[in-house]
Amino acid sequence: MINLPLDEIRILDLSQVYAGPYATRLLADMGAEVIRVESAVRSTRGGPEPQPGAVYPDGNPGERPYNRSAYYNELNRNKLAISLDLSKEKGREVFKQLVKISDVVLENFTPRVMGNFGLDYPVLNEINPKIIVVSISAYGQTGPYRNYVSFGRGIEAMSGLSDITAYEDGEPLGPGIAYADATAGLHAAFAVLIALRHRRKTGRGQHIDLSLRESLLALMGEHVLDHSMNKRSPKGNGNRDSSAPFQGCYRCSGDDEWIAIAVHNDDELQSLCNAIDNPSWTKKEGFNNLLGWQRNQREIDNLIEQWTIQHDNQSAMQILQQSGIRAGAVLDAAQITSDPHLKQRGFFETVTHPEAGTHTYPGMSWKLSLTPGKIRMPAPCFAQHNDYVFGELLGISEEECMQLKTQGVISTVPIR
Amino acid sequence: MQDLPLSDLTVLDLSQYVSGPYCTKLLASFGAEVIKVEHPNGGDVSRRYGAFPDDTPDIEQSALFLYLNTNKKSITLDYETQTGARILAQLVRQVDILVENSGPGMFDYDSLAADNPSLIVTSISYFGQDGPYCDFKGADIIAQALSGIMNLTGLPDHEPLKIAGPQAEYQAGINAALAIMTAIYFRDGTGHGQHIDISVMECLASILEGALLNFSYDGTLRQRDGARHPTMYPSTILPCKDGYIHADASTDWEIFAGFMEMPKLLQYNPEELREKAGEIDPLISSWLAKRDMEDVFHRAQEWRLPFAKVMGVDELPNDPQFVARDFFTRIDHPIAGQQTYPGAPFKTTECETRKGRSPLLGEHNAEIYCDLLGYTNQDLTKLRGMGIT
Repeated sequence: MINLPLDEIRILDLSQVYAGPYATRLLADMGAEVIRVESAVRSTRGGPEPQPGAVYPDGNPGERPYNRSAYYNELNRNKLAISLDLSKEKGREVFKQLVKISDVVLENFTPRVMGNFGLDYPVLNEINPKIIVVSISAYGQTGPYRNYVSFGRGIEAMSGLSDITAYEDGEPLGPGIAYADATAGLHAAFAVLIALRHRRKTGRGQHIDLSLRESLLALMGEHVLDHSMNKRSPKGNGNRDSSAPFQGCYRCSGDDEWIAIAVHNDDELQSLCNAIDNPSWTKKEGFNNLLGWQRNQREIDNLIEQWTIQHDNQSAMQILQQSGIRAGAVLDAAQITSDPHLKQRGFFETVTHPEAGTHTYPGMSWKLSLTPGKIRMPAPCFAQHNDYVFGELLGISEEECMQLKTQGVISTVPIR
Repeated sequence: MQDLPLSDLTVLDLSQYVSGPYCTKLLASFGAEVIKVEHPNGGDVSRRYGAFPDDTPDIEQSALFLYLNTNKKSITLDYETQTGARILAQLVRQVDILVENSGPGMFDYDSLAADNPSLIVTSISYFGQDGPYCDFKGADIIAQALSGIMNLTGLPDHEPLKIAGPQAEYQAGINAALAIMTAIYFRDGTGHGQHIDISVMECLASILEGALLNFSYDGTLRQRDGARHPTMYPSTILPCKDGYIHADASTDWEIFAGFMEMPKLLQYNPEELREKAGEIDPLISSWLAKRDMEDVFHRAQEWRLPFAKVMGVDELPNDPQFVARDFFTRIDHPIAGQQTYPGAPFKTTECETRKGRSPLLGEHNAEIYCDLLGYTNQDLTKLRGMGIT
């Protein structure tokens, strides 16, 4: 039997919301033992009351909504969870014992928090010189904004991405998903692997300082260079793109149904004209080559839409793809979940969560031929792995655990 | 050179445009030797996409190429010729990692692995190496459409919008770099290589902020809603006196009302805020309309409210936080000159990243063909004459 690549790595996950949990999800998928260290008073999984806006199975929060949130359960599969109050001295002592036997600590508090706990990098490094500490924050661990707060959407604004994710001459909108968080999570997981390999070569751990804003700018380099070269700033341009010759998004026959189409050269343009039965406009001067299409984009958009509006987006996609045209239906969550391609690729996995029931989950983000990975276990319930971690890993006696419970250092249910 | 974490690894990079190049850019910046193989006739397509200085096309001055290929070596090779294929096979035997994004079927993992069993082959494609869409033709916008991102981005009464820039490609690139590092870590321990199959569509479907599991849990189908957060209020973009600001009270409505000195906001129950957005927005907007963006941003932060400025790319290089952290770097290039580039996506205490430039087309032909593979200068001239290099 082949083991998973990271199955000897133990990660203490103090992170909340999206960026950090997505990083540790990726590492857990590849075999790392990720232990979520959660507070009984402030956890993003929520407390005894249902969270506004949260999605629960069949709309029912149940008695323990904190074990049934879709948001939490998607991001935290393959992980373990303990409850530990780091604001108490005794809680920090237990945490330090865990640091001794772990490889990575990942946190995304604002930068002052770990220091206030007395758990900043120099302290953790002294306990375990091999420890890799990843600190994810909005603006980074240093600089005048270090203690400024932001979620991913604010970071997209501060990075120039919201400004250009906009319709032509429209107001700034930004991505409709937590894009800066996902991007930071991916870079953070990559940073962990870089640091692990460095440790394998040198025996030394290190501190990673990852700013959401900087890791998002890494995906906008061509704009930064264009500004450096030409002193100009990109503008919102709808679905056009400076690095793509011609493309757009067109209305189809159904309700809110759309298709994206891209044309990269004159051959593809000809195939598209053929596929839509060569209406007379395709013969007109200025409408029969890519240069002309680029000059008359809006008019061409309307003419293409006269064809797409007669088809639903799935059949339009099939017709166009069969003619070798870059076309993709704009899918919603329902269509993606039943998409035949993703199904056949095994992208989705059926998982039974003891308190949330059986559902279809998005699975591995990629396929490794020898070490494919899968959802080995559902997201943990609150404090589910207290016995394993405190008892088996740390050897804390049952009496001592009872004491810690009485002192409120560990708990079995969230308080709020 | 400092012993960087990947300085013992060689990458054969057959990819072009954005996804593969961003992946190998990350590997190169942490020390890997990346040999970028470009077609002798013009090289990587990103050399032709720009932007260019003064909009004058020049394959050595494309912003997209210059950014994505720092710290790499470039050789020219037409490996679709017989001789070219033989040379490629020689290269494959000398490297640890191969990265390609030519589409399914161009490279056969089994025959590559027969020559070099510990090789890690990374194939990036829009839809993956198999399945009903595997022969579909893709593009960045096509992947953003089919993966669900576009349906969630843009205004409800407008066409769906893509995230600006080749973001689907970038996402595939960072996913590929992470998958490669995982496979390298496994190989370090076991000696085994493997084949990595990256589908752009799947990378994107993995980051829909819960939209897929939400649907599975209770049938929720989120609609695109401009700059608004799907559940929290306010978390949206609104105009102020001199620009746009991301207004955000999602941490605490009472603090928000205090910050705005508008106690009447407290008449709203925090749980109904999102649905009453149409009613509350004008109250916030009229307050913002009288105030400067910079001032509101910093004052809100004093109240620990996660406000943010909607900044243009032109404002970034002089931003005090970026300056204090020395984020942007100046890199010199023999033709494009000194330009400003984004720095590393994260800072480390132990491994300084490389700060080299992108290569000229075929700049390292002599080094790779002669020094590494043992061809003579005459051989190289002959290959060039045949159009192979």
